[in-house]
Amino acid sequence: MMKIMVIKWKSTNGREQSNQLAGASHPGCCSQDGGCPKKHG
Amino acid sequence: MNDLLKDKQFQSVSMISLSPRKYAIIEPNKIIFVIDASEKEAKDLIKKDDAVLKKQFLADNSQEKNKQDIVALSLLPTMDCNLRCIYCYAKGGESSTYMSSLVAFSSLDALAKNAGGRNLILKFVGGGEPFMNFDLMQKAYKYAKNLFNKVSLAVVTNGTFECEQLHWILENDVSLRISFDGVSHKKQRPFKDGTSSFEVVEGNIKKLITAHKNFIVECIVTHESVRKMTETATYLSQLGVSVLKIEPVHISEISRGDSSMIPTPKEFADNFLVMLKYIMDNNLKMKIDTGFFSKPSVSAYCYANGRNLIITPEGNITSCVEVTKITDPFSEIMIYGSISTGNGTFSFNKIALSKLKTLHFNNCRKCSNCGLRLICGGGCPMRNLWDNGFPLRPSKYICQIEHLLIPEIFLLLMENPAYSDILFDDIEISC
Repeated sequence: MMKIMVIKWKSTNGREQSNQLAGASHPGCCSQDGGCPKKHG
Repeated sequence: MNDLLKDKQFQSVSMISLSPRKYAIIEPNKIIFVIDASEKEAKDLIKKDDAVLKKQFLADNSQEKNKQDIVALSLLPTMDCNLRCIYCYAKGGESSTYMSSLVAFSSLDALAKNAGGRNLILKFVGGGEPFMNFDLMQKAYKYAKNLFNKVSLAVVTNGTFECEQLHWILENDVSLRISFDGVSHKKQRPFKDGTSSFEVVEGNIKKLITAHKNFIVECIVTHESVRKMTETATYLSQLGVSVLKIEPVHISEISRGDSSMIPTPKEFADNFLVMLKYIMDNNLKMKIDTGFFSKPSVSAYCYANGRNLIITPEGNITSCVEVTKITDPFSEIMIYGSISTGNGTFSFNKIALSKLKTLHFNNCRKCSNCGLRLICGGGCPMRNLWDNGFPLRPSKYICQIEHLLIPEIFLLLMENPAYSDILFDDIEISC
């Protein structure tokens, strides 16, 4: 029998304005820190 | 694909098959896992969700268009650095240019002309190590407070800050991202003179934890350190770090280091999953963050598409911290304006700006056919440019990691929704 599981984010803003965590965002690209999701070095 | 998926406007939904009779439907702000269903049954769920989807799409878009009451400005206080990280994307420390107060103040004046009285997020990023120009940071903050309603601070630092700077961080509730490579730090992030910076950074992290300060540790993984990801996560968790952002090193034309440092996509993905399972099995109190997995969204990967205001020490405006000098590749596009210190105004290069606006996965044919596009956002646009130039095409390396990693993470979430505690915040799960 088909089962469904839904993960839904509470805030509906775009990727950039999100909180700092991965799933909730590209981490703080805008609001939390340095503006880059990757900053690889 | 059903009609909805063919509709250009509704490229805000995708479905991927994870294994026989297991599917994930990805929409803005939402992932629906469908278990024990045929492909047709899963697709029918998208049709049923049509009305809701339209509403979500419009909400997501309107949020994008609404520039909110918050504006952001990033300053690169200096290209100088006290470390010589083996992979530094900016070869930090090889140039010792410092931003003047005049450039910082003029940038704030220019922004205030359009956005004065609003709330400002003032970020200090590298290039070099921002705290090497601490005097400027303090002055800029003080100046900004006179121009904006409220000023929040964010700093990306190598974590070698001194006592006075630590107090400033705590007093002003600065959002912090600290680069610290855990058990591989000594080898990867030495001081300029070659000595270890491990003890200094670890000491500062301990002080922040003692002060109950929230911060993110960012860890860079190389070919040599990729097998130590779990060890690093364990060590940092024991230290009290609660958020670990982990990324593979990228070597571009202007980085320090060479391509032999780069872990293969499979090495990175495999070890990331091992780390994730270890955190779950051992109940480590730690969140894992990575640029490979974002909240599903129709928006671009980042603000490099002409919405970043990042001021270089010389007073140029760049859209990405990786391109800061006019001699850098792609500078004719990425450096898309400058600040006039005479009258405190920004001037923009409209041709560059129009090109930057194309840095969205909607403009990439390969991405528009990919089920993961809302999760990865097409990947780092700068990385895509380093690899492929214009027009926008996704980095093969990043794509490989996404396709190795995300379906496996989905399967873990289906088996055990508690993985969401490690990967996400601000969510609700329903069955």
